[in-house]
Amino acid sequence: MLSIILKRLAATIPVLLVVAIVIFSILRLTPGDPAAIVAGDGATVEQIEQIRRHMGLDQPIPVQFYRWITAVLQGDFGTSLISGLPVSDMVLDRMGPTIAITLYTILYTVLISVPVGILSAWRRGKPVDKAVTAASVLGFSVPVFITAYLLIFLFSMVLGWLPVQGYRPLSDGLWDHLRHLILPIASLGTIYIALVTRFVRSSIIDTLGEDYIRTARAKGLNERGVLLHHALTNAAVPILTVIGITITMLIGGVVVTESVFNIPGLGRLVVEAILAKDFTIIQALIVLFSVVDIFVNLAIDILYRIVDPRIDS
Amino acid sequence: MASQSKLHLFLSSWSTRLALAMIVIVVLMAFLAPWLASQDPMFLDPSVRLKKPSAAHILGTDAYGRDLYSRIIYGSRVSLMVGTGVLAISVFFGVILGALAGYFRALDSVIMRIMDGIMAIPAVLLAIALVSVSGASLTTVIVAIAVPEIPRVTRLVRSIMLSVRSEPYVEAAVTLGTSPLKILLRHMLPNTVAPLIVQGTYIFAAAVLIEAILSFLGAGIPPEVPSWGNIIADGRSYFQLLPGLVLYPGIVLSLTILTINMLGDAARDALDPKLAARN
Amino acid sequence: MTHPGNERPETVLSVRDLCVETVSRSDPRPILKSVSFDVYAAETLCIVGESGSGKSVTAFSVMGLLPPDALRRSGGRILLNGRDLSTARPGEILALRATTMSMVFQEPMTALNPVRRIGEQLDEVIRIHRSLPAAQRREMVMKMLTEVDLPDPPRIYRSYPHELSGGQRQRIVIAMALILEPKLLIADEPTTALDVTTQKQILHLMKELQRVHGTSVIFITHDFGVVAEIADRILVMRHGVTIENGTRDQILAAPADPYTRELVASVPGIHPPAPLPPKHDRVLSLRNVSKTYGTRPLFGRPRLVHALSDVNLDVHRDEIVGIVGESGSGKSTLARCVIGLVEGWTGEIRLGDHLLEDASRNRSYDIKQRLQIVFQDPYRSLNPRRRIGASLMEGLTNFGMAESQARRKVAEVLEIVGLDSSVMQRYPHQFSGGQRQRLCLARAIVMEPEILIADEAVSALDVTVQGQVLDLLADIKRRTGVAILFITHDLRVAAQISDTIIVMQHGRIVEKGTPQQVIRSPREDYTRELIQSAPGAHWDFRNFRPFVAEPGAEPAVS
Repeated sequence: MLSIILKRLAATIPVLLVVAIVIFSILRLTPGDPAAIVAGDGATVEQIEQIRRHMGLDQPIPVQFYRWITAVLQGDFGTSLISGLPVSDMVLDRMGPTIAITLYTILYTVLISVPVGILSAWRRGKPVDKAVTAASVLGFSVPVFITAYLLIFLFSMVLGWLPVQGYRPLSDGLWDHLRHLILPIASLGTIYIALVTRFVRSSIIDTLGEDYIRTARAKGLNERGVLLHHALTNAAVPILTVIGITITMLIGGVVVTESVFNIPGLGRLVVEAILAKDFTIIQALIVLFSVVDIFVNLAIDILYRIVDPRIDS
Repeated sequence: MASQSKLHLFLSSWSTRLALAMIVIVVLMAFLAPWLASQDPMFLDPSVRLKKPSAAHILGTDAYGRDLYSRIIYGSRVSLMVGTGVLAISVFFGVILGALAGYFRALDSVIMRIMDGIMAIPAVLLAIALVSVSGASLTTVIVAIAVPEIPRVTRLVRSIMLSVRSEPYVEAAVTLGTSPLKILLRHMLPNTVAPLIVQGTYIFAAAVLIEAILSFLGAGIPPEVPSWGNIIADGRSYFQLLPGLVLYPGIVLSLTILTINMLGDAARDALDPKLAARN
Repeated sequence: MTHPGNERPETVLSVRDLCVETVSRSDPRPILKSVSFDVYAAETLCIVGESGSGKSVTAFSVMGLLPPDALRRSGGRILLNGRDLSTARPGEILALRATTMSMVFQEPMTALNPVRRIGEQLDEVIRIHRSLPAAQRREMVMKMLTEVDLPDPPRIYRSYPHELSGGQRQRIVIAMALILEPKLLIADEPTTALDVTTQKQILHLMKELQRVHGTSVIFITHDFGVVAEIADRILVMRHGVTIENGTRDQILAAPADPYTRELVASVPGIHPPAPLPPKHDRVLSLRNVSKTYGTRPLFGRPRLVHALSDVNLDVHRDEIVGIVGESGSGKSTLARCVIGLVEGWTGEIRLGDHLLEDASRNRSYDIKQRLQIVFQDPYRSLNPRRRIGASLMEGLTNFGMAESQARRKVAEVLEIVGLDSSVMQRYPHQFSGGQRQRLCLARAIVMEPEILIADEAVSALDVTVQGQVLDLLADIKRRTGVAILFITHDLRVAAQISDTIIVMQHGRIVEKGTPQQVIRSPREDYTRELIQSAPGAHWDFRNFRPFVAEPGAEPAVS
């Protein structure tokens, strides 16, 4: 088991490298001079040059890359070009809301989509299934921010039950914390519930077509038993896969949600940084997100091996 | 012949026919915009800003006094152009890369590692980054959205290549002396047509969606151009005053994406019998 | 096991006028039309038929396992022990499964749940129908594992399916079916996917279990050799209709219906026809040919599979070399090395004077033209999107032959394989399996090869069609003098058609000789085992009588 983990870890290195190179190159290709931006208007040419040297931007690109990589590996993500604060501090500051939204949404999604997907597969072709299928297509077609505005319109403006926007950390009280997160999670969750439900449904339907299901029926097992004891355990692998993919896609959705609901999280930080061309933050955050993504997939990979005894024998 | 029955199957459900009709309406909206709109979408008139729907302005006006209805009509153009552009670019490069990866083992690992790397970066963020690098314009937005979609197509084409490679009729072609290029074009790639049609519709829908997100975040099409995302971005500050500024374009946007996804599902059901059996 | 003189044994299953049709609102198609038959206590009824005969559908109907969105029973009665299954409630049918009637399916590799242990899956059968304490259930399972001849039952109990071979998995499935001692066991082609030596063991096991438990068995198969071995009575089906029904001897010795006659006569017997004239010049020679596949994990030793080891072989003009072996013997690998679809083999293969390159893509067109192949699966051997004409002309036009000339040549060859030149305009899906295989043959011989490789080319065909294609191959050989490498797992087929037989095991050639030599006086134990495993060797099908050994020939068959 350990050797497998090490092997998979080793395999992620080239991918991480590609990510780092892609991000680094994109940013270096940006027109506009970061040194000039930092120096501000009215700076003299010498001042800009001085800042440039200070930031290490006069070095050839491979050297800049090398320096940046070694710094990152030591935990130093540099300082924000705009605010001058260390990036790591800014990240830690704004991590809380993003983690809260992400975790709650994943939980919400899995708790709803897995049972609904199973039900839909079991009652395939019946009204329940048709309703779920139609709702799913609708769910992933409506953009997050539209769902968000619709929900805000209904629950905040018309009914007045929930706040329009904003974020309250846990320290402010559990109920207040959750109250502000209900709408964001509901908006974000809709899309992912739709996608995962669809996928759970088709995985179970596929599994139900396998030969060993026929054997189970031939034993005299009823449909409920077939579903729970045979189909579900075998569908676990593809379902884990799609949950992993969903977590990756979630990051994109979080960005938009934080924007609509004015939540001070990492998603909004990234967008602000990109628009302000603050390289250090952009590099750090995109690499951070990608690393999280890669490790989530690694974790899922390991989970597979626990669930399915066929792998690695 | 076989393709007639597939078309028949595709059109067999009423929901598909409805979706097809809606898409036709959107396409007509785009082409006939100058005649359907009540006035120039860029025309500013501060004296009528933020008005509720009236006879002169069917859906009201925005913060700059522009007619909302006209802007929404013209917005369809942007969405369709983005969708088509992204589709073309991602399929073109995706097929080439996927075919190379699937046919030449030496290129496979290199290409797929690069694709994995691109897929590891959240698509929206990568798109925003690319747009901010090259400046906001229709072309850059199309390219920026297409790049994260290319790996999806590459993977699809590659996996089809890998499975078809061991089909007896492909091996037969090898023993008959057919050149690798002819084998690729004549025997292997045709198997990708049906899956690409299905995947293509989903990519089109995703492109429309991502463009809206980019514009909404201020990282997409230049703000004066009437794209549905831009209209919503403009309207968000006044949402509590005039929710229609956000909700009207939002509903049109959602319906467009919905119909394209429905067509994708219908295409999948018609073209792949195994998948259809599930539904 | 029926004794004509005794009183009528009890009827375990009685099917009357069973009708099954496809599920369709507008246009249901009949699949089974008024099928009727009986199964008596402790006997084996073999249901025989070619593809599309409806034999499997019959079995599924009895068990109530018809897929509800595809097929439904539209009429008739099914009486199990006097109980009418057609009017029973779903709960009643569930209770009858495994306790009164059981089923074993064709594919052992996919019949078991891959993520649960064997013991648990066997235990489940008991838990569904009986409330017994865990210890007692475990004892029952262990006893059953021993009864199906599995070594080390405790280890098997803890194993997962992927840790067992196909034969072992099939024993598990049989154990699951018989653990609650049902009166009726339905076996749907249970040995078709197994090697012939394993098949023999399983058939023997089933006969034994039947004797011990008094179970009635419905054995569905397309292989008359198997039928000759195990049947008490035979039911012949075709296109959803019962053709003929009788005792084993009645059907095999004196079939009344012409279709039955044709079916029985087409079965290849293992006894080779008269010796043939000696050989001509050599066209292909293999020396020390080996192929190894290896996986090299990051830690640990590399795992090597020796698919071929040191193969030496000569093939002559006008000769059919039958290469026989079970799975893993290397026979297909050998063929694919010769034709260059497998790369990285070592040793020498000479085509005439020319030393062959290992991979097809490295060979000149000239060489490629002289080596052609026909594959096993006729449904995947032709590009479904191209017209037949284009597919058949492909090889010729590859080297620049003009289309008109290529078309003429293809038309000539189509005549040889017995098809009209109008087929060139049509698409593969418009043809049956046998016709497609003829088309693939045409595609190969239009190139005028010196060597034709038939890689299990008749294995997927119905037995009547198989006979026709074998005759066609012999005809082609006579006309063109082409040498044929005939790869097969079925020794009986090889015996009928080959001039020389090669037996392979674990990548090596184990025995070589004329059919007479190999079958009548085999030198190796493995060959003997193969011969003895060949079902129905004691019956002479073509002549509808038990096999009578020729005077002077030593029978190698017990």
